[in-house]
Amino acid sequence: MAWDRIKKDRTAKISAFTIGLFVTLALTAPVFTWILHTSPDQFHPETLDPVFGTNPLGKFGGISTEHWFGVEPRTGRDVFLRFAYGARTSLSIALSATALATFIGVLVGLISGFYGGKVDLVLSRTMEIILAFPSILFALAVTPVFENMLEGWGVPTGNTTRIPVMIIVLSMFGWPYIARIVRGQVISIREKEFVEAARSIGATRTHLVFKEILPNLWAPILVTVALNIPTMITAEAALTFLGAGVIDPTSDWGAMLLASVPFYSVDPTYTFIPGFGLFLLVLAFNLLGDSVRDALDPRSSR
Amino acid sequence: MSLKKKAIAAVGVAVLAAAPLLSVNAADAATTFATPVAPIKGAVKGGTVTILAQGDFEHLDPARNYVGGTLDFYRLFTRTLTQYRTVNGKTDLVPDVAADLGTTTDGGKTWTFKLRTNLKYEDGKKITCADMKYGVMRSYNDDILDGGPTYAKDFIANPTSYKGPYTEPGKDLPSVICSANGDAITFKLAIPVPYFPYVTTFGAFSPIPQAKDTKQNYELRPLSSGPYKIKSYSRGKELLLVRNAQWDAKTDPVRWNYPDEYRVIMGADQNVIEQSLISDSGNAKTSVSFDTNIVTNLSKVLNVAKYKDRLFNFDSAYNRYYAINVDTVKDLNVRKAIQCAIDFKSILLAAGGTSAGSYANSTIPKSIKGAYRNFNVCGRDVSKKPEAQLEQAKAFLAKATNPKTTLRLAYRDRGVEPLRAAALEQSLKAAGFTVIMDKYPSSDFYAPAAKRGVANEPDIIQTSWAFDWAAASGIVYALFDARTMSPEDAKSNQSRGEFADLQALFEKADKSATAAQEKILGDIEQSLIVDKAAHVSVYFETSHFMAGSKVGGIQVDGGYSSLSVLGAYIKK
Repeated sequence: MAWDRIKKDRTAKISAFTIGLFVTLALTAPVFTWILHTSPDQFHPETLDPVFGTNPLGKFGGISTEHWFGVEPRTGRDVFLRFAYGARTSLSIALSATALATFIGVLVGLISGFYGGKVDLVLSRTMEIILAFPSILFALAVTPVFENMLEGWGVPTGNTTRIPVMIIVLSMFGWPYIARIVRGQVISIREKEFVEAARSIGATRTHLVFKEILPNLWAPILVTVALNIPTMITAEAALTFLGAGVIDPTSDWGAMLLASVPFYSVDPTYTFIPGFGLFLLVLAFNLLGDSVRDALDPRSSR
Repeated sequence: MSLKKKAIAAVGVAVLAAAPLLSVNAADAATTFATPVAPIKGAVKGGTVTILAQGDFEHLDPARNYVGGTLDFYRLFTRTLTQYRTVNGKTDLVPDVAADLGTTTDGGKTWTFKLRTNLKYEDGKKITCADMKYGVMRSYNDDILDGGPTYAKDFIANPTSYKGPYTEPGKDLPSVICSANGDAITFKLAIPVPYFPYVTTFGAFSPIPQAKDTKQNYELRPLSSGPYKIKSYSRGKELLLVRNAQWDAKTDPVRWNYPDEYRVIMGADQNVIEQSLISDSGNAKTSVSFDTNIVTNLSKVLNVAKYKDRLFNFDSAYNRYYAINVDTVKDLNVRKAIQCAIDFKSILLAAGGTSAGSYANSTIPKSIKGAYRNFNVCGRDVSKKPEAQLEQAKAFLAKATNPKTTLRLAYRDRGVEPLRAAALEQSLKAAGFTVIMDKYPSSDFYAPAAKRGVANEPDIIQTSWAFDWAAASGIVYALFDARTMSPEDAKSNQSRGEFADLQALFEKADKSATAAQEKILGDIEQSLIVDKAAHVSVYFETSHFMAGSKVGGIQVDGGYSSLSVLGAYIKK
């Protein structure tokens, strides 16, 4: 029924199409490397003004048949490929963080809501404390600490540690949102007749939680996840933009934005592209999330 | 972009052309230059000159200061035996604490300088010959006072193997002699150094009273002998200079003293500084930066009438180069492979293109005619074929008997330096190397990159140099002479080479007259680049500095090849 409603929603269809486009772009990025005969890290000195290395030759940041989105000032790296690979990095970090946050959030929400009492008290206060934290500031502060810790254990620094650290930090601040919603739903469901019935015939707690309660929660979880993904994408880009995220030469939208800032007056195209990409994807996810919510709960008002 | 590099004093081209090294003996010149510097036309007193800097100074301790822009700047509170003076584009060597430019009677092995006897520190105490001597002596403790030039220690005879006042308190350095009444100082050198009065422009030849020496903390609060003194210094944030009432303009042939204060604000990034100077709004009107070249926005301001008066364009003496660490990259073929893999073109583009520099095969500039050699690097003329020679690089790598394909590249996090390093990383990768990028903070780079035998020692060091005086002797000794190194510290010799044939040439150069010496030093550099592949000079920088519209008196300093703020004033 919900599916039918989504299918009739034009906003949802356009959003889903946009998201699909970006995901396809991310997945097929290596194909474009092959088509364009270059890699996202390859310098192209021939595409730059030899006198002012900051200026790509040609109009709009050097857009041409070889370089669809132009080239990066000073290096000549292909912006389209960096954008495609950047979508990979940004999406995979955001989606991994969302998945991890959802897993933790659902688990904690179930436990907290089902057991109630002291367990609920402790878990709920923990969630509130985490929600009260200024997450971006905290992430900025803990990233180097985490990194040093990992370095101390002999893990090489660089993106191999940066990316897992980002996923952990982002999910650390993402799970309470899901946990709170799940907890509320569990509390309202656990006293329902079918749960009582199962309990009275001697079902175990595990059975009650996972077989009776959880299957009734998928709708609110889906909505929260859909609305969590764009938050994660922006948080990831913000962290990278502020210097606590992915490091060059690995491409990432936040990193592209950061790299483009100095050139906003000489090559605005370069700033526009990652910025517009980020805007479009986040908007699409948000609109889709809204549509999903409307579809699952038609009584709620916009 | 940052000007500072481990580069140093550069005697301007003016000096080079007009005054070959030896004219410093001319007694009449000495008396002329001993007079106070003439006022700048239209300059007025008062106001605050703000200096925008990307990062903190490496060292303000005179013995440790070896960075171009800082060498210009620290003269506001540090006087040295001799010093450069730039007036109307002409740079001269003048006596500063000294009263003459030194005399020698034995061809440069013994030098005597008369001293001014009426100079005072900021605390009102007199500057004495003993303080000058102590300044030299403490520079021997370069294990603690690292970072500075090693010329004092290298040139002054040391029959008792003196190691510095911290290591050997109470011991004397007998080769530096103060006259009985303290109005002259004599240096006995180990070898003849005809250009010694240029060497004495460095901070090791500045007065420091032993009682005030706080060792490695001295750089936080150096005692002023110049027109300004440090009021507050918060490392990495701000330095505030105020007038020093004890300084007497009549005794100073180098410095002016127009503004009431100089305020250095540190920590803004390249682009913020560029944008604020270009926009010229608010405080930027009274600001100037000598560590930030206009690079990113250069195409918007170069040759634009509106900015003409505020933009200072000049060919700098700074050579950007790569030192290949001979200690860690032992195989000659690997070094040659690295040399061939360096893509001059993408490195210069990363720095801003041909508006920002010109390709170079040699760290000795063409203007030093007696030593410059027009040789090829990796078999090609780099000014015509700046692209990487990847096929040759791969061929050399295949020939290596002791292949090393993982390279650690050390570079500073300042201005366009990370981007230049990324350009190098690219072409090294294309040649088949794996590159570990090792980024150092901008105020702590040269010393850690020069540490020998440590874990994670860099294989390639991205660094730069400007001549210490306009001669090959102001380049080659500091960069390539193995005798300046210790087993722990390569000092300025970042390529750490120690080749018997070249050391023999150095010893021959020591004993040669100036012209012959310059020729030998040119040979040494050529061999080090072509035969030993331990050094790759990439380009000479073209500088474009900007000042706010209300700042006057800014000039290009010929002595240090940097933008000088000594004569700055705030326009009414």
